[in-house]
Amino acid sequence: MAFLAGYGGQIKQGSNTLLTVTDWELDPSADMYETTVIGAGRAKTFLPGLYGATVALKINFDATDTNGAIALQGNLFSATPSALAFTLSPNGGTNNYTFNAYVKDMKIHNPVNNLVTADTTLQITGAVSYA
Amino acid sequence: MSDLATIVQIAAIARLRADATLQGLMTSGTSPEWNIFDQGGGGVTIPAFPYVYLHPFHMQLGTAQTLGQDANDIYLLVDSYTRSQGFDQARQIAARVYALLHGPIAGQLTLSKGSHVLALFDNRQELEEVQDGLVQRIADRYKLYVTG
Repeated sequence: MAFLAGYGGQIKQGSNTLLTVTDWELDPSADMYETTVIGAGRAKTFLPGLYGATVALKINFDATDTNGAIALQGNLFSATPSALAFTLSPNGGTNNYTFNAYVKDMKIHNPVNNLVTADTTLQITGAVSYA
Repeated sequence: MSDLATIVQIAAIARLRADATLQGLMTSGTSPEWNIFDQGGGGVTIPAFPYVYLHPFHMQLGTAQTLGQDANDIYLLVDSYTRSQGFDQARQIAARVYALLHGPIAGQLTLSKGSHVLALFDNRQELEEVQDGLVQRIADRYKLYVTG
């Protein structure tokens, strides 16, 4: 068993590490086509179809960190995909997800009594690879 | 966890000592300390009233922690002691300290290591104590977000 602690995670955009991310969530999912027919019992049956994924990032907004939220914001406005690599934990180069993604939305949140945050959703385009 | 408590304390004391308005309120203070010390920092010489003690009394894992970067939330206790007729003098000192520490208008502290993100006033207690006579004490607590 080798459990992983979240603080060791890392995100890179190209070769730049994003330093202000507090949380990320990757949710790959596949469409399921139902193949259930009459006369084959009560159990439903399915055939997997297209798969895709989105990513949710929680970011502490830092306007001086041009590799972080500012870079993602730039990709949103220019419709440029980001080449991202997620590492669950520095673990000898394993536990890495890599993919290209468009920035789908950003929510810049400015509370009076806490940090400014930029919650971001990425739409992955193409395959997700894991190594 | 990186330990930024001392660095934050040094920066906060330096800011308070450097303020001309607060220097004016510290009527018994002299340069460069102006009766503003670490908790117990008067040492064997008890400073004459009024005086201010700063002490980072509580530290926890930080709100500003991010992947790959450590952070602390540090609660800073600022005690303003006076021997006066009522709390007016202590409140004037505490109000000036508030202006120098709280929020983005006061601005981020300059740290020798790490980054100060935000300082917020948390709570206040006004206490009357007996120390060879009545003493007014205002205990203010500030929450400081630091990272690095």
